[in-house]
Amino acid sequence: MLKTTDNNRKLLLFYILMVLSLLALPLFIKNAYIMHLVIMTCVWGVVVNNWNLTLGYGGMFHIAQISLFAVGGYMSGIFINELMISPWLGLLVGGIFAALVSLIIGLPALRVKGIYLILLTYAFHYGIKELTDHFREITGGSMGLVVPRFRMAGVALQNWQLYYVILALLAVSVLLNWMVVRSYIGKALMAIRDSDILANSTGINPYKFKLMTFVMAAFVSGVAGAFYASYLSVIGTEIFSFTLIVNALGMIVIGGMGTLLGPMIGSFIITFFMEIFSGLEDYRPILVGAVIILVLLFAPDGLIQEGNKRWERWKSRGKKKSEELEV
Amino acid sequence: MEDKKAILRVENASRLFGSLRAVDGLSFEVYEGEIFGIAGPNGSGKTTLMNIITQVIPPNSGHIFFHDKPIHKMPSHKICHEGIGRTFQNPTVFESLSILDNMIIGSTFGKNHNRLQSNMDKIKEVLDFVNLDKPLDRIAGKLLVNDKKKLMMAIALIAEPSLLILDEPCAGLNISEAKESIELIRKIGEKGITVMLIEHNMQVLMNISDRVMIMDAGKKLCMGPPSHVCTNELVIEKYLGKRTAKGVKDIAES
Amino acid sequence: MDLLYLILRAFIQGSIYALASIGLSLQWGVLRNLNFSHGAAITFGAYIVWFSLESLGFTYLFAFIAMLLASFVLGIAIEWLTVKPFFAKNDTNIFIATVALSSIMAQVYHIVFGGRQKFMRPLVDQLIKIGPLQATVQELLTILITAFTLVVLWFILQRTKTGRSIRAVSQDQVGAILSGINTRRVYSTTLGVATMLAGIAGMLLGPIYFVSPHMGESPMVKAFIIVILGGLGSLKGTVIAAFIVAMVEVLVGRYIGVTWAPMMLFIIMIMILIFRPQGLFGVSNRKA
Repeated sequence: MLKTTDNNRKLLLFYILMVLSLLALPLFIKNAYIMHLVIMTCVWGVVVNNWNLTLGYGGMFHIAQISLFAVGGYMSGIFINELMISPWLGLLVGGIFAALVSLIIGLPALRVKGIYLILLTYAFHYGIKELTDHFREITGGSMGLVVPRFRMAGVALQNWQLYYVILALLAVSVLLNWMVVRSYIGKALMAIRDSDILANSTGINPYKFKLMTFVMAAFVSGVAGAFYASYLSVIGTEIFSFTLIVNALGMIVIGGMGTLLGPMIGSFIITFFMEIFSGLEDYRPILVGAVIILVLLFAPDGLIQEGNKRWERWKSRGKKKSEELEV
Repeated sequence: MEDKKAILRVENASRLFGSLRAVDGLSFEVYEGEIFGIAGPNGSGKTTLMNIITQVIPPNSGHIFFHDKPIHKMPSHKICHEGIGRTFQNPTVFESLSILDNMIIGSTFGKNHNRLQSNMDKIKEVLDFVNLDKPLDRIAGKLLVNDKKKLMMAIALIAEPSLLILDEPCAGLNISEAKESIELIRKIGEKGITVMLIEHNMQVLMNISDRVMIMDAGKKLCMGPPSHVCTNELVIEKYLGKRTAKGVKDIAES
Repeated sequence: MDLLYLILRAFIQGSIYALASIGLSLQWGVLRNLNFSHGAAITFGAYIVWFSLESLGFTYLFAFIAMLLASFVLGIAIEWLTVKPFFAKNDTNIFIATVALSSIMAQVYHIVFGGRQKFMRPLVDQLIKIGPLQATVQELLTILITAFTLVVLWFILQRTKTGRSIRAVSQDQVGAILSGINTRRVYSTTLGVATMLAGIAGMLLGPIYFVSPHMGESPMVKAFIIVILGGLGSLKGTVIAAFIVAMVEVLVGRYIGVTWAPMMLFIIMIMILIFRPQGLFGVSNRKA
């Protein structure tokens, strides 16, 4: 018992240090490009955090998270441009529309599972892309939609300020996920993931819980999408490219599916990994794909869990040796 | 027997798979507090019947009443809230979660709570009752078959069902494990929980049940107390065979 | 007359779709999972044919044979890399691995052949006009080649030992193992054959569209819709569904608007999944 409280205290200390260093980050990063990468890490962090909630915890095998992210970005951009609302309000608009669309897709799609759900959301992804092409007068088509940047008191915000905005969103997202996972909703989700038939006969309505989390995850991703559009001041149809889906899946797999912080670490690894190899521009997608397959093969629980396991084994091996010595 | 109250009433229930009549116009009643055994050859529709009652597979036609309340149009999870618990033929638990979490899920959702129910005394009591003495933080997927079956039973029991449906609880167990399982079923019956039991082994079934129904091709072949059933000629002809019938009869009468 | 022309177009389109999707359906039947690198396999076939024709100076027949061989090997490699390690343990991982693989393959094409679209010369470059109907000879050949391929496939599945073991495994895995069939080998053969079929589809798509690293993705989306509509695992259903999808696409494109065709297919897919998840011709895989 004593040991666990000790561990808990260590863990708490670790979290506090992490939050403090995240808050202090802009003080150390002077390079604008690195700051940009950090912001993108946070943006993708929000997306994969929520994708992981539905996919890793809820076992809903869908690929709609990026489509919903795009819906948030586009709807916010359209509202800002057409109705002259402020980009700050756009965040809310993006979230609401992503949630609405997720409800429309989720109502029929979450009745099916497995391969059917993948295919439906895959088709949905392409459907949204086609719609974006179709209404090119307001979406900008393949040219992209120009979206105004965030302002405060008439002055455009700088990247280090925007960093705090997205960090706050990331924090909210993680906290929300943490609360969901710990609550009865999270238990229901994990039960459904493990066996939906048993869950059903144990009194859980799988459809209700799945839809609930799906819509919630969509809302947060939509807000992130709105942020993304305003931050880059443009959103284009390349958001629908398959590479993004692969990258985001890679973040989840590498970090560890069904863990709270894993996907965000995955987001960090992939975002910066891509930059380390920026000289090898053309080879990056190959590297990412290869890393995904390698992780699936050799560390299926993600790098963090695998590292933990190795560490424990290493530690216990040391112990065994010392025991042997004593004997 | 006549003045016993029916807890479950199945009227003319049918389920088709394509042209196969898995359950074909079946009617029967289960009385409160009894152990009701169901047997029949493979493919006679026993498991389908269970699935119809718990609405895992809805019936094509017919009525089912539980405590005189129609349940044949209710979704599966509401049936659990009504007080029908069940187990599966294959040991099914929430594999990636700990024993404790499995039990919390059972006690939270079985009674439709909106807050996690983690009454440790109750959880320990139920686990004691099914005689599962593994550490609470053990991951359920790593348990052995027998322990998984016990846990599956415990998940159903912690929701305090008034009717418990057991689908071949002894399948895949060795003799001593099976004996333990039978003892447990008896104990459940003694607690006043009505039990519906599918069992392949006729000796076990005759030994433990108050009444038995033999199914064949989705229909009721014969129903009644064990001693009555095993002397029924149709049953002997179609299912038991003469030698088994004699052995079973001896058990039923002893 | 306009209608007759549209039907002809649907027929041409439908035969390519049939080739593009039947491999997926075959694979579902045997392995019970779908391969998201199927699109990259279509592209693969197109590139091999293009490369053999343009750079190696092969005739069409040799290019075709080279493509079949290369595709078969690719299929076996796909099975070995993405299916074998996870089979029957983790369907999620098969999906993710095939997605990752398709991304890798698309990028390899990009690096090896460049991002520019390649023009693949058709087998016969001629236009035929009969009254209001007009089509290139290549397009008519497409129909013929598809019909021929399907007949050969049917023959292989019905009459050869390999084909019979493929059918046996797709009907009953356990039974097949018990009767001494080497299921491992059936799995890789199936993926080899499925990839060959995708390659043929790629070869036929090449001259109609252009050859580019991502050319297989859009036919793959269609193929997914088709196998669901036809019923996963039902080859007959897949072929019929391919023509239905092509018909819908052509008709909607002509009378409502080209951009609405994908939306229409999407709606059809949702309807099918909700009301008849086993597809038009599939049998329900739910058992008691």
